[in-house]
Amino acid sequence: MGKKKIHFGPILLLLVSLLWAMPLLWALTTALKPAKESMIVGFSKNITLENFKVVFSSAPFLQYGLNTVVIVAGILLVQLVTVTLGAYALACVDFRGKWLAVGLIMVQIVIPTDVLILPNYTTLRHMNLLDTRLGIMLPFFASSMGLLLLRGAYKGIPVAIADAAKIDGANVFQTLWNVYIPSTRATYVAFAICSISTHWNSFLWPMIVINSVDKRPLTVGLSLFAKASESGPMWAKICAATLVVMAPLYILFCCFQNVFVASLVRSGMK
Amino acid sequence: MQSSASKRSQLRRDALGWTFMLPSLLFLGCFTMLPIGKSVINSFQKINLGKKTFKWVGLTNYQKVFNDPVFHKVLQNTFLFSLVVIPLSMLLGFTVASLVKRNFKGVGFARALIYYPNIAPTIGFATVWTFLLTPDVGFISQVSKWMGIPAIDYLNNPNYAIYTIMLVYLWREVGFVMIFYTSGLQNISPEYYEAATLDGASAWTVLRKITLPLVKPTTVFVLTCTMANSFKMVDLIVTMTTKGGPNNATNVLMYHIYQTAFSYWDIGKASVMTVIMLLFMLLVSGVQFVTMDRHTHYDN
Repeated sequence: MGKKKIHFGPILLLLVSLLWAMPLLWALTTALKPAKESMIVGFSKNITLENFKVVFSSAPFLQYGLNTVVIVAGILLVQLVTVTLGAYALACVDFRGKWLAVGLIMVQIVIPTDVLILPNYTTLRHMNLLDTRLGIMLPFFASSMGLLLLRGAYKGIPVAIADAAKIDGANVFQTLWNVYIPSTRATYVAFAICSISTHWNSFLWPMIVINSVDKRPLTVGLSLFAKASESGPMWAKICAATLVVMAPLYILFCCFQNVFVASLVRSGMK
Repeated sequence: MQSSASKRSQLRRDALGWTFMLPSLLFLGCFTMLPIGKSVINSFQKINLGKKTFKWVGLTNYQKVFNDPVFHKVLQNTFLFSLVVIPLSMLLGFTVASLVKRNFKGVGFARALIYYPNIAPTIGFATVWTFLLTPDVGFISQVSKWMGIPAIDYLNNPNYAIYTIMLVYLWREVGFVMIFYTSGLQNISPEYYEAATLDGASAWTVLRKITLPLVKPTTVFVLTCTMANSFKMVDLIVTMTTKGGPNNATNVLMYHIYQTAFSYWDIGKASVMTVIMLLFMLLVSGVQFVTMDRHTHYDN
């Protein structure tokens, strides 16, 4: 029984993987062949990088990529500050009204920011921040998930170590910088990976906020590129563009699969 | 003296605690609390964004929403979608996870192939799926012709459109569920299984008495995530359908909010639907609260 299963499992897994890989394989073969052969199934003898060239010349994908990097990095950097300070307060400071702070944090766990597109849009409108990259980032500067995650990690650090730093005359910031942050590096990596992969692929919110071509992130650029060209011969270009948008994150994933997976699990389950 | 000193140090801790919480609370306040309040208030108002005027209209917006046949269709679609997609993604994710939990040659490759829809831009791959599903010339059409199955225009047929979206959604969600179950399954000590084998327990008994109870924290987590994800799903509708069509066959709540707010600019109605969406999210947390075993800790 047990033996039979071991042989059966990998075969089933192979079938599932192939089925799942089908769109990727199709996109890859289509992107690598001349546009006029798009409709023909399978690899072409005339492998070409022409489609990738067309993608970069017909839409400012480098500018889109830069915008995505700015947005993703901006969100992450501010989050790291807000989350570090907040987590320290929650884990290490015995202040009155902490229950209230925790309660307020839980609201974002229950109600994710994604469903509040309409009221957040009107808020940005009042602040005159529509059509700005800052506008895309603002709603995500605080992260309850990050706060809870880091609070847990900070609590795992023995109080004695922090006290030793205090006796050595370190102030709160020095203790954070020299004790707490270095010893919870894995948690920071986990949080960063979650934050990056969420915001790299975020689509609806940037589409609502941004109008100008030069401020579009990759996802919005890709969607408009696809909308503008849905006829058959354009398939090759769109496949090439999709692969271009996907590549950075996928390479990151493949190189650091174990860290990536462990990070996702860690951030979800604590 | 002693007590005033301890009072002073308590005050210092209060100040430090709240100061450090301030940045987080400021952004949470502006972009989570305030919007929730605003949605509730706006749902009772008639609003003109251009002229910046608003008028209290009582329950008029609620009446408009609940009397709208499109909204009924949207709710039906949302429930149908969630009811199919939540159990299927959990079941398939669990099954795939039990296949990839062991380490053998190529397992990392298989995991990467099943997980990639989650790191790929949905927009791009949703478009690739529309190509694959194109009648006559699309890959799926060609394959089904080759197998002798009549090709259907899956995305434009009102009977099939939402199920087609479900399949593409599952293609993405199964990898997400797999990641968490893989880790949950790997954390179960092999000793349990060895003991069960010695006792001659059947595979079914092992699954029911050992595996499922031990991955329950994972199940609770995955259930609430898949619930929230299915209610929030909107990107596939934006990319793969024409405005939730054909004839609203694929229109779901989140898309209808987006449409009502940013195509029809009916802020009142869109706020009512946002409030309904907030209730759905509360339901998700309610489910989490009820199903969570309070003695189980999440950290393994």
